[in-house]
Amino acid sequence: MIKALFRRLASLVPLLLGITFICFLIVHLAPGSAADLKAGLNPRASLEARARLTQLYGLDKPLAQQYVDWLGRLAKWDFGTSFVDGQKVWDKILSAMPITIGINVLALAAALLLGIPAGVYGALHRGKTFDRWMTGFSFAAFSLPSFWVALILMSFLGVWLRLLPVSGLHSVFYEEFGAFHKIADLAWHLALPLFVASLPGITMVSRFVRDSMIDALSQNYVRTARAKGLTERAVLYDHALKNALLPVVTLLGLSVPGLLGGSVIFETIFSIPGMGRLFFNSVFSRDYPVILAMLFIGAVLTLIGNWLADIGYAVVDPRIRQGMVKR
Amino acid sequence: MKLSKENRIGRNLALAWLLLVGAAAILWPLYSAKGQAMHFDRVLHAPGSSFLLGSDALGRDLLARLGGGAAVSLSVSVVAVLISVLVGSWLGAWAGLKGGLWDRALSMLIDIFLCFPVFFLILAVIAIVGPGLFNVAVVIGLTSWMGTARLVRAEVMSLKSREFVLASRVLGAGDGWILGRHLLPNALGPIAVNSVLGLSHAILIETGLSFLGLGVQPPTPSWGNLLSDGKSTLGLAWWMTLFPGLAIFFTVLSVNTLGERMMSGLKGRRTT
Repeated sequence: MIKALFRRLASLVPLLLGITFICFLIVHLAPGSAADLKAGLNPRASLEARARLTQLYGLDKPLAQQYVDWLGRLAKWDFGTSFVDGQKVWDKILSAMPITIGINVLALAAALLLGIPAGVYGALHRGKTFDRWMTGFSFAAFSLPSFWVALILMSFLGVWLRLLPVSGLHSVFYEEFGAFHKIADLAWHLALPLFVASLPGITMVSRFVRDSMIDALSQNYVRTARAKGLTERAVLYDHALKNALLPVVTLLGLSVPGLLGGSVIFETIFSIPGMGRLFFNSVFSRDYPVILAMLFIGAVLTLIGNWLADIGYAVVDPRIRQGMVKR
Repeated sequence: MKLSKENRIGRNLALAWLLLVGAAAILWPLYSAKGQAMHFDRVLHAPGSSFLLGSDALGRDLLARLGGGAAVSLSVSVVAVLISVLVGSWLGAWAGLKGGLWDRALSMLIDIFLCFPVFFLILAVIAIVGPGLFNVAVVIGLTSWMGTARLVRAEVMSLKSREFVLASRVLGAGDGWILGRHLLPNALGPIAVNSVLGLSHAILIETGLSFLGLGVQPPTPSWGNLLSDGKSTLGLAWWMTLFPGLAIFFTVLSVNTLGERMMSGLKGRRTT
């Protein structure tokens, strides 16, 4: 079992190499070079400074050599320093990562907690009022621009009713608060961003669980279970639901890139100092090393998400587990 | 195919809305002067007799600017979808037809591209090539071809061993002829559905980028940058936030409704 998982991990290596290649291509084949941009932002940068930068980043070497050098630094987890403040790129990302991952994990938890019951209820009462409303609502939610939802909520709950804060993670006097007060303050600030971040997840999970549950209920093993005389409860929850939930694990793994991309929008709107806003700010100030590192780490997080989904799938589904070991 | 009454109403509403928006977009050159004209004596006027949907912080007519936004957002999204369909169809068809190493290479490329959060990829390229109408369209197109490529590949693989294709081969047809004459026309249905759904994705991405200030640059109006004007007047002018958002929402909803209709139509045809 463990061996199978490591074999799966090894199969990700070519993908990882491909990712580094695409990152490199994007940043280096564009017209102009990093040195041009950095000098361009700073009017006092002289030709001499430009030459020094070129040498520092090895921009005068052939592209293939640059790529190999960059891979070498990457292998040592060295992403260089930021153009903006000279801070180590990895330190910047590391301080932003827990916030983004934390919010997205909470958003996923909300999606599961609300989406699964809604989906199951819809499947059991197919075609009834709740199911029809839910279907219409999720179809509409797929078409809603998340930044607009955020703006509407901000203006209604934040600006007009003054119920919720509209930016940041903490109040001004956060440091002086007691532990309980701190948590309450954080939750208060997170309410709006979390709602916006979890809305697509809730609708997606509920649709998915509904369709998957309807499918499971028409399977032969459900009929068998009923024929054996099991209680309806046991049939629904031990037999149908268990099977209907299996694909949700894959859905969660596949949702990682979408969540990371979405965090750019809601973190920027709500001024939350996570990876999304860091990426946005780096794009605005053309902070090359940070952009390159974020692109790479975003893809690596996606790979990790897929790998975790594979493990999760093997854990919940014995058929997959045996298949993996046999291979 | 019979539609339920609700579905028929939904489809007709979607068509009507898209026709309206399309007309507004095509006629934009006729009233663009009205959309750019500033009236500093009537700044941030609420919807009323002088401005039907209100005016912005520079006293410009929001309704006219929404029409301009339709022209810009729709044309950027349509160009983006055209690019992604062309790239995706070509790569997918090639890999499906050639098989072997080509096929494995394409699958690998798709897997690699799917690892990147699309928004990260788009923002990184924008950071280098700069924002703007044309760049945004191209970047969205070049980062969303993977679905089409997979679809066309699968269609081509299943079609290429059918009798009519083999017959054409026996008669001496080359790869190009078979692709253009037999395989792609037969895969057109799924490609069309895919592009319609791709259009709604492209509209959401374009407006998102422009909202963040990294897409279409003012004074050129886009539904996205109109909304970002709405953000800067939050609490002062509700119409600046409400109407551009509704325009995006109704358009994406209409496109999705039609896409869904086309998809179920296609499924119905295939099963019978």
